[in-house]
Amino acid sequence: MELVINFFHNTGFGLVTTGHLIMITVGLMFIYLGIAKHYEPLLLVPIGFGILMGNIPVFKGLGLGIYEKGSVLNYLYFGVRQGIYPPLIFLGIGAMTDFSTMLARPKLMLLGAAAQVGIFVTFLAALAIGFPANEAGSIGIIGGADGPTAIFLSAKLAPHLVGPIAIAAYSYMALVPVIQPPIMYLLTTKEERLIKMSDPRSVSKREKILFPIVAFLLCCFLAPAALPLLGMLFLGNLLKECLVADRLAQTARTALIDIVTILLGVTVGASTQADVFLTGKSIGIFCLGAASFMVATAGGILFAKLMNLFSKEKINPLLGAAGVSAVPDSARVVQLIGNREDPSNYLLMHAMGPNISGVIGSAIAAGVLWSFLLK
Amino acid sequence: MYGLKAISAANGWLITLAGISIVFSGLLVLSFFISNMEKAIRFLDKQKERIKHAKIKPVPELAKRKKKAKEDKRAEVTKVVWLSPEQVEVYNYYRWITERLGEPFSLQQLLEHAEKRGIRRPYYHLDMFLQMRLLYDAGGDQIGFYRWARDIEIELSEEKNEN
Repeated sequence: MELVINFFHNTGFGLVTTGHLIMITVGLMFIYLGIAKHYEPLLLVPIGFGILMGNIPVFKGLGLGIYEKGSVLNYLYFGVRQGIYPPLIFLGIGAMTDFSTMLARPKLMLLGAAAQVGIFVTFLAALAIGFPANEAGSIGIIGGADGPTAIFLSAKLAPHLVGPIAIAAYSYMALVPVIQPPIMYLLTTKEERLIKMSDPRSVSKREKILFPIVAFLLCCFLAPAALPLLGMLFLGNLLKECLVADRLAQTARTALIDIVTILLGVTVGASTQADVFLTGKSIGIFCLGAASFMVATAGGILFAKLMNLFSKEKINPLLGAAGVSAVPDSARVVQLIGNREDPSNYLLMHAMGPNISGVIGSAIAAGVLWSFLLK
Repeated sequence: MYGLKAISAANGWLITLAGISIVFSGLLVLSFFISNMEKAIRFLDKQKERIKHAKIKPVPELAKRKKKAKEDKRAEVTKVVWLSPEQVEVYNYYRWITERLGEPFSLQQLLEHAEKRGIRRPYYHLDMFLQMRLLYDAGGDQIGFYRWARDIEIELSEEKNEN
């Protein structure tokens, strides 16, 4: 009988705590949102399942948990800890992104820069409420609305916070259609939302080939710490545009990015073990993350309005909201709001410009924070 | 430490100011470069063209023969088609793709490759080339497959874009 009781105490039923149950509920919610609501299913389903995997109560010392040296999950987590997965994801993103809308109207890139204000405002707010500088930088990057960048920077600056930061970043990215519209309505008038954008010019293939090379050189000379992310992003794009490396581009935008997304999702999910995740800091991170998304959205919209004061050709300020780099969700939200005001107003194509420049901007911001805050 | 004191102690203001400036200046320089890239490419093309025309080379025997062969080939050309720079670019990509596909080729395959490679408005351009008779049906037992017309020469028109 004693043997049976001992066995029971070593099972999940015997070891389970309230924390485990809370986290399992969070995991199930992620899976539900991904499958039933179609909110970023490629990310939320592996992350949600990862949360379940990370929160099965196991007997410590068996080498099963993600933080136990030698465990399988620990080996897979190496890619997150060392910042290997995010650049590989950027390679795939580069290979699937068409930069032509941005190349056609380069001044919209500034909206992508303006939206990065959210990162730095949140960084200041995190410092003010008592987070150390390295953690504040990692929290601030949530405002970049770019999951891989957030994971990359927090793996470098505050590895112990990768779990909460990644979960916050991906949760808010999935909630872009909920978070952004109220701010967009609040900061724009009906007349502004009705502004129609003129058709963009056609972009030649040579421009598309030259762009990743020059952009890489310019950005990385300016912020060398952004090299791993931007280098891979622009390499992926060059593979796509140069036509002669189509096989590599095809692999990067399909098999490679899918494999890395699965590994990243599962391990980030599994890193949210209840004892590590359910702390006061995580709550702070979630609150600051939401604030940073709002500030970033507002920053982009207000800058678009500022640009309208000085430029002849008016910009629809809704496009500023696409400056947060949640590609392509924030651009879709801009299209949705613009279309709701005037069904003949198509903003999606124009919103992709600031959206993509937001990716570049947040990678530069991550590089800057990394170089300033690395001890 | 909390509040403004904590920000100042961690050099928060300086990092924020520097960070925002670097992100803005990076994207500003990039947008400036992009807005001038098209002009720079056109300028370089013009210069290349000018140098090509201005160069008077001594014509050795072999080059003379090559030139004659080229002129003979030109004589076979019965029609000249003027295309805008965008059309020439797409035409060159289509030629590049069909070199790999081999002639005769199926238009469906050509379009699939063009779409996959992000060539702009592939259907529109293919339709235009068909209307200009740059492509013709191979006929016979290869009906439904196409070849490039050999008796047509492509010239670049100054017009930037026809539509």
